[in-house]
Amino acid sequence: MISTLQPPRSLSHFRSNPTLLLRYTSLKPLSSLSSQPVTHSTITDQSQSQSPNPPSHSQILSTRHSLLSRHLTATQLAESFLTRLRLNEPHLRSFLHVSDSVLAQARELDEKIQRNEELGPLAGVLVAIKDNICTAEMPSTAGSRVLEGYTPPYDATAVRKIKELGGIVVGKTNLDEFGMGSTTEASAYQVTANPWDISRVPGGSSGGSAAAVSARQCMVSLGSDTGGSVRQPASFCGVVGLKPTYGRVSRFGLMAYASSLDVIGCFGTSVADAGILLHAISGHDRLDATSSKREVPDFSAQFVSMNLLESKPLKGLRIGLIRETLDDGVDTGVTSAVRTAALHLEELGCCITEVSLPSFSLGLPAYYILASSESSSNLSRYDGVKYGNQVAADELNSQYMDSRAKGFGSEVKRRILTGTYALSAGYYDAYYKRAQQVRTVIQKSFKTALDEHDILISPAAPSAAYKIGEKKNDPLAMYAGDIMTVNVNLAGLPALVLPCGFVDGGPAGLPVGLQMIGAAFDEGKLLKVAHIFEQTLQNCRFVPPLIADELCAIAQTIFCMTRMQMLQSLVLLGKISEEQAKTMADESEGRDLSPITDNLWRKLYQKEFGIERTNLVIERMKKKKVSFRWNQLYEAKLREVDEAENKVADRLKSLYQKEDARKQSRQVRICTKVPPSSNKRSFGNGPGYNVTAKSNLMKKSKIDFLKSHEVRNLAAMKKNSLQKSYSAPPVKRPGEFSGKDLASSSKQPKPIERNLKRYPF
Amino acid sequence: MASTIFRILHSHPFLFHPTALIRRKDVILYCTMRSAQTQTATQEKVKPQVKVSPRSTQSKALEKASRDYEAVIGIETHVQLNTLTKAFCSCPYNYGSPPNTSVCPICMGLPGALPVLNLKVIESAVKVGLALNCKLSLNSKFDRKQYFYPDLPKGYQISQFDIPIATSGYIDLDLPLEFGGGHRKFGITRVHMEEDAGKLLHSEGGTYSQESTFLFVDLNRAGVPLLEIVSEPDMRNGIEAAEYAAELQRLVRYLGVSNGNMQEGSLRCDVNISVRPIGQLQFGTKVEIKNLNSFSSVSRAIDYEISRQVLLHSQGQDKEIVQETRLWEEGAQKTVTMRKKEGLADYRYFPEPDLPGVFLTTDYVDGIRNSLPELPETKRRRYEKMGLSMQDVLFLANDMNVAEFFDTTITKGADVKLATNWIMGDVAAYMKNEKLTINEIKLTPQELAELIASIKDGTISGKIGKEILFELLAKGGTVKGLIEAKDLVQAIDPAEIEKWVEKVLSENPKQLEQYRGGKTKLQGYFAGQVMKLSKGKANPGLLNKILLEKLNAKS
Repeated sequence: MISTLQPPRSLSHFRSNPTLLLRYTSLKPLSSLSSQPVTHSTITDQSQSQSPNPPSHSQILSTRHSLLSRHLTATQLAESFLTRLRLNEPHLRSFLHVSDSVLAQARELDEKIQRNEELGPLAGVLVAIKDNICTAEMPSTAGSRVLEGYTPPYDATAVRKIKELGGIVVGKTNLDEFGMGSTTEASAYQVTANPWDISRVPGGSSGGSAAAVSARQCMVSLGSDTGGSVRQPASFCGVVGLKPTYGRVSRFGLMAYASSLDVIGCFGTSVADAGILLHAISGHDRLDATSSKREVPDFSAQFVSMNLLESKPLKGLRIGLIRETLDDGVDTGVTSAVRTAALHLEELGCCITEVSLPSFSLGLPAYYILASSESSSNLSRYDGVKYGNQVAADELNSQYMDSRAKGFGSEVKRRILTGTYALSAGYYDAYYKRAQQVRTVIQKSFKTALDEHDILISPAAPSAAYKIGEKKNDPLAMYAGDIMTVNVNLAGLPALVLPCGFVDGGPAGLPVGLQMIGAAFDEGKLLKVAHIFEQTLQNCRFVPPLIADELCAIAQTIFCMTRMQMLQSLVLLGKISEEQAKTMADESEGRDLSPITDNLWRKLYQKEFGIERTNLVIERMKKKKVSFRWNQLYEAKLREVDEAENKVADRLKSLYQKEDARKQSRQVRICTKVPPSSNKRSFGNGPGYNVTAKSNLMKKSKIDFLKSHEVRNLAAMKKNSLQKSYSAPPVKRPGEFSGKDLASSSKQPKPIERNLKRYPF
Repeated sequence: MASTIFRILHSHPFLFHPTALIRRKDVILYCTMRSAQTQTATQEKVKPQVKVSPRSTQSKALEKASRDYEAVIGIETHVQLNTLTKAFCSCPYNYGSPPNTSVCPICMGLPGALPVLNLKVIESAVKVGLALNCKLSLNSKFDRKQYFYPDLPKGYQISQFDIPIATSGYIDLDLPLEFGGGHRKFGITRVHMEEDAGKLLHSEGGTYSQESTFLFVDLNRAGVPLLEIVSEPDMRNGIEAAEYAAELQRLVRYLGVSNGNMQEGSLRCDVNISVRPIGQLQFGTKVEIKNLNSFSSVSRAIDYEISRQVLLHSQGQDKEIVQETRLWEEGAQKTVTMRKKEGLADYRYFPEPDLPGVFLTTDYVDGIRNSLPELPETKRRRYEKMGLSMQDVLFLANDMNVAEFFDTTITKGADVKLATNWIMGDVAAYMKNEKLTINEIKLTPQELAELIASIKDGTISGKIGKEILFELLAKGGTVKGLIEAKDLVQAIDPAEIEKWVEKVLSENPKQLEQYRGGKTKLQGYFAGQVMKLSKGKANPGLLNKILLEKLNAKS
């Protein structure tokens, strides 16, 4: 087997013509869609030539720069995003509605640029809006059947501001119905997948907005945060999520879930983007009596360039690590990622201390009582009388009951019932009033903690993204996942979540978010600290393995094809059109697939040789602080097994020459130990290891013959494919190609097959 | 079974008015709403019609029984404030505009819309609170009162629950003389701010479908600010209740916070009545009466309800009095059950999270206190001190504009009693005949004062004064101008009068002869002739004196 699975860098020689602008953009310019060689390089290529892990850059600023410098047109930008959106959408399903006027708006903007007119600060920025935020020209359903097909007559204030500043609304993103949920599974329309692993949830309720930003379907997006609905999905999807102070952003046009907790928040791939977007939508609004009259400072002043940073840029900053957030019930991977982040902050000069908020655990029950109570009232207006779905009935009460019974999903009903109960005469004092008292206690304890510290940090969620369906039927488990975030809403404070590390899972690991909590209206400090943290974070790149990448990676892993070969075979099989193939090639072009391929190899290894063996290897690698490529390990192991088999076979041959060799050899092979010498070349050889390894090995050598045969076939195919030019189909069994084989080696291809069939082209 | 369909708008809320779109499965009906009846700013006055006569067979027994029972009456009044815009949005409200033309996302309760309080509402509430001698809550808040009804677009009403803006006040009033007169003081429990609901308009049954009745929802009124004024259960009969309502109307009109019009629903009274044997401390079972749209219906409905309950008591059937809401039927002049089992509704009140608390500063309150106009009670007491009779006082103070007219006339120097007589007499009669308000007549207080002065100093006679008054009422102008233009100055020159007298005497020798023959009654005839000749200008006193002299001289 070929040892390297690095993606071909066929375009690397064009790197001689990089533009400064493109250093900052991860976009593929439109021109790359044509068959002629591309003249721009991509962020991956470019930045990899400088540092292996480039910090995130502001897509908003680079957009502005490229538009002003005429390097790209707004139309090109919009088209490239729309293409990616369409490509990823069948897998992610993050949008409930995609605007059909994006290109028209982009063209209009281009004309403006040509006329040298002044551009708004968000000119050409593609923004996705959570579907519970009203947009005048697009349906706004809040993910509920009760508002199916409803288009508001007005824009929410935040949306209006974005449009006024030149932003282009790409579409409406999926969410848990009315924001009630933590997984986006409670949407009445569709389940959104996490771009890091499409078998996992993107978090919620703003899961669509987070997934869309993470998968680069848009540049930034708006979400809403009532109990963590911006921060938790940001953590799950590896993007920056910013929940501003209550009152900083007008709620006018945000379909109310719990009015005293709701805030509109921002998603971006970088801290700068989130901050710029927040600045755009902040400020007093005479249409929202709870919006603050405080002046909005210029957040961009906080974004100091990396080059200007001193060695200890955050010297003297007092950071409190909330002790209660690292207790039992929090995944160890998450805890260690957050502790590592704390160490990183310490290196930046911060003074880290643990701080205890004894009231922390009270927040969750108080939150669910208050939020449910308010929602039971806020959702009263959806009665089918004035708008939305109405069920005709014989009399008034049944009309109300039927319209609401059919319109609302079960989670919404659960919360309406909870809230109605909590507000009922005789229960009000025990529930609602008491919860309000708890809220005051929590506010006070945060106040005390923030008097002693500049910011507080904690994980954004107790775990990384979990599997779709895992907590669907266990609402309490899902509610418990909000423990990290609800207290901040109760206190009305600003908080920012940014990715700080990974835990295992999915094809390329799962991101973990770090939550930073600041004092009221102190978003500026949060943004400053987060920006420095982000710019100095090493060895992490939070770009999810996009679907196109995954396809390529799988093809490379299994069939040792280049991505072009894979795509062309897909074309030949009629799965995709030529044009799509080109787009997909460009989509994944230049991306570093090694994490995915490596992960796939690890999975193959695990499947072939068992999880114990795999874990052992991982442990060894950790202990010795070395890392090997999994395909090397796999090959080595395979050779080892081959050798062992051959040796056993030879021995058997000599012993039972006259007997039916095949039957006998298999029987005996199962119970015969492999001589220690055969293990010599394998990794982690040691006396204690041998016994388990060997027994493991013997267990695993039960792999049916077909399997090993298959693997050898693959090797043969690889040789073939290498000899042929990539215009010819490298696959010899085209009939069996369509994912069947893939399915046996990894879980990934299953959705791919599904999605290819569903492909909307 | 009649099916009820509600529908005012669907996705595009601004597309359909002034027609209301009604959708029933596959049937789409457009219905143009008739514009509401022309509004008349009529001024209600308690008609001197009391007591519905109970059926004659029962009347005696009832009369006897009613002496043993007393009624306890409390009133909840909803006063619609005449702010330029609604309570929580910038829609104007005009009574009688075509359905759903005065609506916006906020008052329609569209998703995402938020209320923002109109500060005029607070100002009006503080004014009313102060005028009702209430204790003001400097820190109050809004709450949500939750129930489902198609006229309630948000599914909850923004109201005030446990901390109303004003509490524990009272109102003073004087009963009209025709009802026995007397001064009353009724307690005010609370005053709070809330928003009005929309209106339901029932379709004429069976026009479109035999099985279906349609309900149209008109949200023009939704979100209009209201003050709910709750009285203590201090009233004992229909007249007191009606007078209480009338005094409230007077008060809000004086304050300029509402037009107080009952027919338009700007002032709505819900009455709670219970009856108990005299001497019993405990209240009887409470019955609420709705649909009272004039003061006389307040009074008559209460008296009907009292006799109904007294009758049940006296027949030992007091268990049949249940807590319920009854409806006053104007046609039948009786109350009928509307819905029973009151008091079970759980409105699940909780603080409105979309609105910040209402914080009043003492400066703000004092500012409003100092700007309050003279209130009806103060006015009445002042007029009383001027020496006016209670009837005059009540008439003048009833309408703020009349009172103002009167006051201005007085300040221009007119005699109090004369001014009262002119206003209550000819001016009021003219206004009534021409259906005008005092602000619409052409007469100004300045001219009335002038007129009164002219009569008093003898420049013109009272008769000419009246002529001039009607001229002034209809066409305006000044007293002086009219007197000059028509040469109406009274002749007080004896020589001139003598000339007229002589002329008359010489022209009527026959009558003169008769007079001198002893028919002295003819003096009046001569006086009339002279007056005619002088075109009314001759001073009646002088004229008579000279006439007598002449008549008797030559005898």
